[in-house]
Amino acid sequence: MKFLYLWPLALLVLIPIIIIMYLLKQKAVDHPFSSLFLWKEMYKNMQANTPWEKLKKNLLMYLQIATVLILIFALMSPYIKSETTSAGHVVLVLDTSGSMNTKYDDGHTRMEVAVSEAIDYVDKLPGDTSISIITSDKEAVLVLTDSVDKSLAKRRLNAIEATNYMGDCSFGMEMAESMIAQWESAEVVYFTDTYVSCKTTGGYIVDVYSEQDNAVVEYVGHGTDSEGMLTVLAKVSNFGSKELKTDINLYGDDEMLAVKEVTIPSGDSEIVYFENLAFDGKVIYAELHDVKDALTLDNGCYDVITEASECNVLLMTEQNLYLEKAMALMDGVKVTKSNDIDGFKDFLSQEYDLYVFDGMVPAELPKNGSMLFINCECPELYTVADTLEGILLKVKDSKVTKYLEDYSFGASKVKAMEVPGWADSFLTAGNFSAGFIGTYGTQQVCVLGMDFHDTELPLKSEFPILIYNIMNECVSTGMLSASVVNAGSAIKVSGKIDGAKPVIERPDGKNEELVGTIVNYTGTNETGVYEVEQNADGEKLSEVFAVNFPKNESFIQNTPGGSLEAGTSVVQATVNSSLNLRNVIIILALILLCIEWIVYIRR
Amino acid sequence: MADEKIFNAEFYHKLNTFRMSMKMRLAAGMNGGRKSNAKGNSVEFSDFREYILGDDIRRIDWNAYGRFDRLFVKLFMEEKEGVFRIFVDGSKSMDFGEKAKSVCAQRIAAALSYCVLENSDRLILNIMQGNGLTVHKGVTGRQAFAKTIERLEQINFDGEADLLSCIKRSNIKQRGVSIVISDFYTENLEDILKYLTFSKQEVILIQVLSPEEVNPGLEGTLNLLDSETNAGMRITMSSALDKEYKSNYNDFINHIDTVSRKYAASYLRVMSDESLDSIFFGTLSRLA
Repeated sequence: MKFLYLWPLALLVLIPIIIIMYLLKQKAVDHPFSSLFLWKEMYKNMQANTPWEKLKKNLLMYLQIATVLILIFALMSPYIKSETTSAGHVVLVLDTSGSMNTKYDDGHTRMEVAVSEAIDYVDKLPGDTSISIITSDKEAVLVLTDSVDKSLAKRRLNAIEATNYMGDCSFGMEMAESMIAQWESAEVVYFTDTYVSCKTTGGYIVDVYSEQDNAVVEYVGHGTDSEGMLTVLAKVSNFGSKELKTDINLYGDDEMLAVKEVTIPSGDSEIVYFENLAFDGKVIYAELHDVKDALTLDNGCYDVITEASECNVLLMTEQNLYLEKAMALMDGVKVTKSNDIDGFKDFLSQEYDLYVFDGMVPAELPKNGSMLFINCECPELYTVADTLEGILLKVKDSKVTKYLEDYSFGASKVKAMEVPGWADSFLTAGNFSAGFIGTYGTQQVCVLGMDFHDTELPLKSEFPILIYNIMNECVSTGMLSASVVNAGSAIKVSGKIDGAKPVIERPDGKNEELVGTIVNYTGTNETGVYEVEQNADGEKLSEVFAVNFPKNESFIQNTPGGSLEAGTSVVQATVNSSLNLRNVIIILALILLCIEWIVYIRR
Repeated sequence: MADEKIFNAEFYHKLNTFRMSMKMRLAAGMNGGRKSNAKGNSVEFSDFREYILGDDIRRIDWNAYGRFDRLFVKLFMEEKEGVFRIFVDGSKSMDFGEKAKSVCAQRIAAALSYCVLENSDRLILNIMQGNGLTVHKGVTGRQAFAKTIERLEQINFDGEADLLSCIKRSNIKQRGVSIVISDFYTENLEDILKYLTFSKQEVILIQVLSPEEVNPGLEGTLNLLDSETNAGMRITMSSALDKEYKSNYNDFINHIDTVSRKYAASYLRVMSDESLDSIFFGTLSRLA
């Protein structure tokens, strides 16, 4: 049997206090009596001349001491370590979520304690036990599979560190379940600070939860007024047992912008406003000043000021579902659809980023924004030389045909066009062009000479790629799908398709080149500011995003709560088998209290 | 208790009635106002019997000899004076209880004294204190009652009393009745009875106890102080201890009863909170 905590031993000081209280309680009051003749007869039975004799028959005191000892024992969270497990197979599941970074009073983190306990457990296992190790946070990772090498297991355990991710043991449990299904007998041991219900897998839990004070900046938001002045709000919560009185510092691109003092009662939250800030940088960061709580990672929170990146597209078409669907795939694009070409003038005032004319051309072309002409004639910009039927259209290398090299498709009918001087062809139809793109004045203009319904292109996987490439060339959206994410969350990086591979500068200063121009980036394990850069067309594009500590990990409550859910703030310090020592001990203490009560009444 | 008169009007009223109900008889003692079952020398004729050798020839009825030609002697009722010794325990332990045992003892002593004196018997009042005995000279006659009351009132219940030593100092030489009024917290009761019986005394033990002694009703940890010696004893009261005390008390009572029977002594127990009616017409009437 081992104990999770030793600090309850300090409560042993209560025992001499109880004894002293009993001694003090025994102070005798003088009481005259006619004669002690009869009392002396009973001398041996009733007299207590010395304090120790007094204690001899004090059953109540013994019961109280026993109760205190048992409660101390329970507080020490005893658990049975199977010295000689008969399982043969042992699966250790270690919770590596953000809450495991919480520190005890002695400075050790829950993760360190969990790893230490796990190593201790491994040491006690018989030599032929096969050990598997799983870490679990936002996903389960198999660190070691079915190995009897204890030293290897301990090395792997030592290498485990807590992440900043949201999560718990649930994924690890699922993996453990599937692993032990292949063995006749196996034992699963969970090292976690969060509730886990292991009814299906069995095994037991080593609870590393501890009640600690913690303050957290839950989120930071911003707004800009008409004069460009910035207003920032920060929500600060105090999960500690004492009132929190501290300063909250607001930084803008590493320079301090403002400081405000906050006083938050225990268990309460407060929203702090910073108004009229003249700041034109990108990153704002709110931080609790000099707060030494159990979890420091959540004492600060980032926000990124982004320019409006949404792209508005006006689609003038009778009906083109293929096109609509393909356009919808692009992030940050808002498509407005209309078939009223006569009323086009009304749309001009709204200044769209891209105008798509599918089979119809307005009387007056927009002066700003890009234009995409599909199967229509616009003598103002280009000339249709002929209409060809039953022809094979071939893709030509260009900036909008990336991933479409050497691709060709058939068309029953196509407008063959002369390529204007300001444009480059990317789709050929014999000697003519069926598609070209270029800059006309200040406007990006792309022309496709066929109705998609007359081609097989929409049925091919190349179709959305072509549309995406054209859209990407015609409109300018941000590279990032979000500006602030929680650690462990993926962020989509959509670089220029013809640009270089984006490079991410991480908060620790290391650069990481992405594998492609469009990537779901998942390396957000570290909190801080990430800068994404891409060289495209000789131009250096740069955007930033921030990674915050998941706030669900900031406040873990030690309350069992039914099923386990990701980020649920519950903890079960017990097991579903006979190893539920703490509960058994507490029940024993309650029984003792009942006995004490009965003894007291009967006296 | 200081405000209450020991011998008040009610006491005297009850006392008269009590005397009427008391019919104590004695087989020995000095000549007095009490008719004896024995035949003796008095003026009151009782019976005749035939002369036997050794009879006082002065008692021969010569008239009868003249008529029957046989010698008869006259027998007369012998009147004897009873000697009553009342021993009152004057120790501090008697001055205990909400209704003090001492008051009860004084009243009992006075009532019995009254009966004794009313019957022209001799009363010797003894007060036991320490190892000594205050023996008041024997008195007879109703006129001595006031003096007796005064002596009883003057008893200062204080200190210890070794009953055996005290009684032994009484130097009893005559047959009589010894009435011992005490709480009998002594280990020498049997010796006392042995001594008195040896001294040809008819012994009456009247034990006076207070309700607090029968049922102490104590709680918590106490330092019990002996009222006589001021010696202390620490106890922690519990239901078990209370039960044990009561058991011990019953043993104590049973022991006195057993020893009394063994020495043909009368044993009466009076509670200090009992009414005069209960004491006079209940407990003491059993002496008749």
